[in-house]
Order: sequence, then C-alpha cells, then structure tokens
Amino acid sequence: MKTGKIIAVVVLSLLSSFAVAGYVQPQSVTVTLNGDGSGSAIGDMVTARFSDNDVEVIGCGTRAYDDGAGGIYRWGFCQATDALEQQVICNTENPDLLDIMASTSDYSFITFSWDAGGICNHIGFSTQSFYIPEHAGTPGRGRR
Amino acid sequence: MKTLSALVLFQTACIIFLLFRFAGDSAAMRLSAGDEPVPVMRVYSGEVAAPAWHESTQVSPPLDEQRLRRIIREELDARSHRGAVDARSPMARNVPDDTHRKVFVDQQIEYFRSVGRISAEEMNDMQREIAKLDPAGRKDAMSRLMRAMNSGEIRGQL
Repeated sequence: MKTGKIIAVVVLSLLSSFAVAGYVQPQSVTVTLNGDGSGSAIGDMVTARFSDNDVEVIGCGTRAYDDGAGGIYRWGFCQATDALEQQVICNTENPDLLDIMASTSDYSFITFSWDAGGICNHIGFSTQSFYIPEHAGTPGRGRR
Repeated sequence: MKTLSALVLFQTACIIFLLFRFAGDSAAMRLSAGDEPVPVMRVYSGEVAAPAWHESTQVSPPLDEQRLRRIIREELDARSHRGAVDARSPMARNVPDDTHRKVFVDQQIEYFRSVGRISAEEMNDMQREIAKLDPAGRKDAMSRLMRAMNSGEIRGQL
C-alpha cells in the first residue's frame, strides 16, 4: 500500500512535468561589432532578464518630444548589452521602423543592426512560444 | 609733537588695515576659482541660465584654469556670434537659435564623455534639447551621442 502511494506520487510528478513542457529556444544576448562602428545584436528578452549575470539587456523603445516649433520629434532606439558588457545602441527616425519598435511584446526575440553612424538599419521581432519562460523566473533548457 | 605722533600712528594703522583687506580679498578670489566645477550653461536667449546637468550627477570634472578659460572663450564667442546675427538683418531675429542650442548640446555630450556616464534622467533632459534642434542638428547630435555610447565613452541606457 505504501509502495503504491510512492509510485503514484512519482508518476503524477512526471505527468505534471510533461504538462508544462514544450519546445524552448533561449537566445542569450549576442553583440557583433564591426570595425567601422556598425554591428548587430540578437537575443530574447526573457533569457536576458533571467541570465546568471546582471548586465545582459536587450530591448527597443520609442520617444516623442515637443520640438518647440509646434511639432513632435519622434525617434526610436534599440539597445543591447551582452555578458561581456559590450553595450550597443542604435536610433532611428524612420516611421516604419518606429512602428516595428512599438510592437515589442513581453517575450520577444529581438534582432537589430546599425550603420557606422549608429542609425538602425534593421529591426526584427519574433513573438513565439519557445521564447516564453518554462516556469516563472526559470528559462527552459531545450527540447525534451 | 603729540599731535604729530598721533597722526603718524593713525596713518600707519590705516595702511596696515588696507594691506590686510586687499590680501584677504586676493586669497578669497584664488580660493573661489577652485571650489566648484563650472557647470555647462545655456547661452542662448541672451541669458545665462542655471546649470544644465541634474543634481543626480555624482562626478564633476575638476576645474582648472585652462578649462575655465575655454568655457569663458566659448561663452564670449557665442555671444558675439549672436550679436552679429542680429546686426545683419531684422529677419535673423526670428530664426530659431539653433546654433547656440547646438553648441549647448555639443557641450553636454562632451561633458558626459568626460564623466563617462549618463543617467536616464540626464539622457531625457538632453533628448529634450536635441528635439528642439533643426533636423540636421538632431541627426548630428544623435549620431555623436550614439557613437560615444557604442564606443564605450559614455555608459548609460535609454
């Protein structure tokens, strides 16, 4: 009877693990710098947020300021810092890229690149299930 | 004789008093030059406004004579330029003072490069100034700022 209970507990524990499983694909922040000042960065926000270090960052945002002449100055940025504390940032005023920046969601994978002047020339987002953390505060480790 | 002696003594006392007074003033002037860093100041609109950086700034570059002379020279150049613009044409007075604002923004960027860091609040303040530049000025200022941050000369985040 006691053995049966133990077996039941073990089986139920295994089943509960399968219930929250699924494919996960963490992507740590990776920064690539070129000699002329251009470069690119990729990473997903969850992996960056819950990384073992306290420096990894990746994200995008937009800003709007009164230009003092009756108009609004809108611009956007993407920034990233990898585990080696390489910090990069790009900015843009391109309205199409600003729209993309504004579409960032909580569990996004982000990729962006910039030219030698620090102007963003490519921004990409991906919001898929394998970037969602397996458990709250614990990123997954791969396919099971 | 007594009168003469009294006058001599009075004269001597006055001379000594004046010597101490001038010596004290000179010492105060030398001390005040090195007490506090000279903040980056706004020059446009005919006024010198309060320091531009936020109180949250933890590090201030030491003020030396060369830096003080450079700042004063820049302020005087900016003022003389504004006077020349006003003298050329009445229409010039209606043109936004982008030149001086650009100078101010450039000074801000140089200041943060010297400090090596910029806080989120300081970045926000500088962005507000950049927003008021003309499009070419904004592009130049943002490019300089981004290059400084990407090269590690200025650490901070948006």
